[in-house]
Amino acid sequence: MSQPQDMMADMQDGTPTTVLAIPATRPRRRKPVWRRLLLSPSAIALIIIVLLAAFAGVIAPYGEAQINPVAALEPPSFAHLMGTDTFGRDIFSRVLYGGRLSLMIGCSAAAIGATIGVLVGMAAGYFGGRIDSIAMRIIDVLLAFPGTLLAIVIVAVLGPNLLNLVLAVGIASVPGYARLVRSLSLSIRESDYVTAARATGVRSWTIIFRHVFPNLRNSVIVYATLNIATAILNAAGLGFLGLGSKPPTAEWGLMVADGRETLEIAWWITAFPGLSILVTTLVIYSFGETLTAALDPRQSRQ
Amino acid sequence: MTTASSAPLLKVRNLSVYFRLEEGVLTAVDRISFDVFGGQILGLVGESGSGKSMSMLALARLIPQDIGIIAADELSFDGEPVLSMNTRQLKALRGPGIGFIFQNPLSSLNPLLTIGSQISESLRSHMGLSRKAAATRTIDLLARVGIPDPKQRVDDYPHQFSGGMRQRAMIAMAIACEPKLILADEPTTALDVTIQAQILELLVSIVEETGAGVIIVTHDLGVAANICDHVNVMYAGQIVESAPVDDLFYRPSMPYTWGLLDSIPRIDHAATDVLPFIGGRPPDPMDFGSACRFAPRCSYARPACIARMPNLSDRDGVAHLARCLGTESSGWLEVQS
Repeated sequence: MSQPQDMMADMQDGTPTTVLAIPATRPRRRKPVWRRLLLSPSAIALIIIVLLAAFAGVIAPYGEAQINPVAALEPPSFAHLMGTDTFGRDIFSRVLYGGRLSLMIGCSAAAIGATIGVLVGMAAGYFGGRIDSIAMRIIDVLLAFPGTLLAIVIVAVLGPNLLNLVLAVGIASVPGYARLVRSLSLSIRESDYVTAARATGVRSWTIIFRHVFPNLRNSVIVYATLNIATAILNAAGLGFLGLGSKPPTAEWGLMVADGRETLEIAWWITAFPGLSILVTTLVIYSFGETLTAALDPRQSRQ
Repeated sequence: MTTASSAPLLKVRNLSVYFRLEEGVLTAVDRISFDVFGGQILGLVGESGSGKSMSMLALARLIPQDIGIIAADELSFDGEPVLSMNTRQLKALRGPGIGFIFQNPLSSLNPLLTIGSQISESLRSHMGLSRKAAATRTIDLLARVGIPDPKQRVDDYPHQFSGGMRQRAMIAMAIACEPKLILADEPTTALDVTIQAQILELLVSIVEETGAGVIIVTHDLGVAANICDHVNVMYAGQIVESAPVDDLFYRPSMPYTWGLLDSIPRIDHAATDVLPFIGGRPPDPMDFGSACRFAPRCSYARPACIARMPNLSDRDGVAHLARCLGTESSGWLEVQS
């Protein structure tokens, strides 16, 4: 490795037609990813939603569980932007308060599911053989139960509180991640750059985190953004069964369930929390799209 | 160019690679033997599926273990038996011992990591360099393999490199830990001819500089003629002819080698002439049978060729071996010159 300059000079003298230089005027550096990400519409929308939930106490015109029997079942008006429920509670205020809990439950459950699922899936897919068989049989057992039922069992075993609820919903979403990640790892394992890394003596876990993970990251992000919405709904279902958040607490899924009986005369009780879930999901989903594009060096330079 | 020291760097005796499939056992490489010395460039030529790449991967035990079986009477690198190495010894073998250059430089580079981080990966894990020291050495390596403006290009992604530059980056990766043996699996197949010449030139200069041994797999006899000291011709998993490079081209002693040589386009032939080719296809690797494996495609074959498999036997040249009954001293074929 002694004389790089001489070497290059030799090559260019010997074969003058072969200069490989690419015009040096080309922009070299990628723009900072995070700045462009934060200024994207979906990121701004997501920030607004998070701020609304975080400052619910300041923004909400009424208390979270403030009952007003006189104003029960009022349709949306200026006094009650989203109407009131059977107890006369302001739906708008409750949607704001509920956002805190739902976002927290959805994101933490998806994070738990993604972390465990990705690790298990990558190990199973990359190492194959016995590790794969054992991990996937366990996942198959989890998969054999409907997600909600599985979550019920876990909450029933661990005891009903918020932490266990998040844990249960998270574990119930592990099989989806594990299956997805395993199949992606299987194909990435066979790629030439993994062989090349193995051929230079890189350790297995280093390959998994440096080569396999970045190449399946985008799929996981897309799956996770959808999973957050599912997690919110699953948590709501558990709350409805008395295994999650208890009734006076505002929580989107619980509110959707509450409005069930009065759906024909008071659609707004169900509609607005439902709409919140829908909008939040869409925003998180499109933020996921923006994120995957920003993380891909091939797309980020456009 | 043969500055061979006395003990071979790599000693291979009867190396075989099998794959256990549902339909049976597939023989990818069938009892091949050769030596590689430091400073020597050994060529491995043959058509697709003849077992060239598989024998390369087997040398560093990179065959997937769940279905592949590597067997050998002896496979030693620098005196160490490769087949009995544990994980830690293998890790030390790959990188500082053996460096790989792969065929397709685009797919062999991770599209999501910068060129620099992929080269410094092995530097940091093998040589224990700090992030900074590894970065400096990576830039030196890129300069060494002839990447212009290496300080800037080190942070580029593979898609920002041209094909030739990617192959240079691959070579930088392969030589990062100063391996004693470089295995180049069709390093120039994906490149055009001018770039190919540069890459080969680079490879030769690295050998002269570091004294590393090289095995270069190619199906291009022109490449072999250019840079190799010794050439092994492979067909259907076997070595069918093994000779010093001049001997192979002046006195090829196996009809398969004749076919390969004839099917090289020549500049003095009219462009409208049909290029000679070897008819037929290689035998089924699940069932090679006991005949000469080339016999079904060989226009000189006689009943004796079907009766038994010829041995790899001496020809008159120095270290010239061929597997053909017809060109043995008692055979019926005149060796073409």
